[in-house]
Amino acid sequence: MSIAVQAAILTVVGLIVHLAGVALYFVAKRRGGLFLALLGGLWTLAMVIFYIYSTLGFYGPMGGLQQESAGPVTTTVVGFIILIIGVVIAVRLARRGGVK
Amino acid sequence: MSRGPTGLWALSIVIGLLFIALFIYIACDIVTKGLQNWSEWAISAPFIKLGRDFWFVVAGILWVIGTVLFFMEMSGYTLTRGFKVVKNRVKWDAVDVTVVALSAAIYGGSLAATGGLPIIPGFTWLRPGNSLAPLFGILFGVPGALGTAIGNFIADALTGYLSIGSIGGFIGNFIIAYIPYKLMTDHSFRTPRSIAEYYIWGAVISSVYCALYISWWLDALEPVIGLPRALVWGWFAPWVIFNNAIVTTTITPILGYILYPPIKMRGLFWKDRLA
Repeated sequence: MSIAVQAAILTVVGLIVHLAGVALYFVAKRRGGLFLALLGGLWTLAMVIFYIYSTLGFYGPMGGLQQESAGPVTTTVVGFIILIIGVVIAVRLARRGGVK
Repeated sequence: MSRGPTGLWALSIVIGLLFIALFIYIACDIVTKGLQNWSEWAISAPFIKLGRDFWFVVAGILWVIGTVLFFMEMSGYTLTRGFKVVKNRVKWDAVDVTVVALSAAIYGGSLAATGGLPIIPGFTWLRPGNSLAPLFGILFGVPGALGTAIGNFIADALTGYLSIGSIGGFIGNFIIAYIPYKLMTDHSFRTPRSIAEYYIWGAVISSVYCALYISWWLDALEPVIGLPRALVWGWFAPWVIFNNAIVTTTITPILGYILYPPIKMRGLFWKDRLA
């Protein structure tokens, strides 16, 4: 099975999970829907990254990143940005506290 | 670090040092024999000697258990030590959802930050971020484990390893965080019991379980994914065990010792957040 078909299947899975979460949260008023929506949303975000990288030719022919492309540098930069976003969320959450 | 008799402290430190020594030995063995000569690595020997059929059956049983546990936790249920199915008491409120997001961002970001440094191009990369996976489970419980799974999926996309195989990686990484969360009785990194339990469940068992879980998935879907079965069991499985355990035996206990008090103090420790 080609990687494009695999990606299409993964994209559909992400969208279904996201929409199921949104429906559960807003229609059925189930709190777990929020987490399903987040799970599906982040899954779909990963697929968006995949399609952007594919279009820009960042992936190597055997998997991994094409070393001659801007892929490795971009990934390192994006990785650090995501890491910083995570740390900022962690600091804000720690200030707010968890136990109510 | 004074809780517990000196003898127990000595025992827990010996257990930790033995595991660290084992994985440093494996690292030296891999470097000496060469990354390409995976069939000669000491860590590959059990996989090659016992053969694909043996590991496919063993990993298949673990795969079914792991998958059932994952979907059970996601639907709000858990297994007690007496093997009873009960509600898992995770609130899934705004704080839990935020914990999922921050775990995914920190884990995925830290994996991707070193994604440009392949060890064998097309196969794997340097992953010091693996040290965070058991930690998120130990500190944040199920939301941390789920964040770890999502983070790994995002990192796969950023590093060029995203495929149907990533579904196995998704649950496999959930398991790395879930096993120490579920099976350690003391999560504080401050007692001999906590240290010994961490090395057994968090550093070694979870790494082996994750490797077998993903390998079974890659083997079963070989016609779709295309990674040869000999490579799955001879190279991939031992490499995943090593790549996880080399950092979870060395870096994670230090991070856990530093991070446990502030997480606990801020009311974010999973035991303090159960409904």
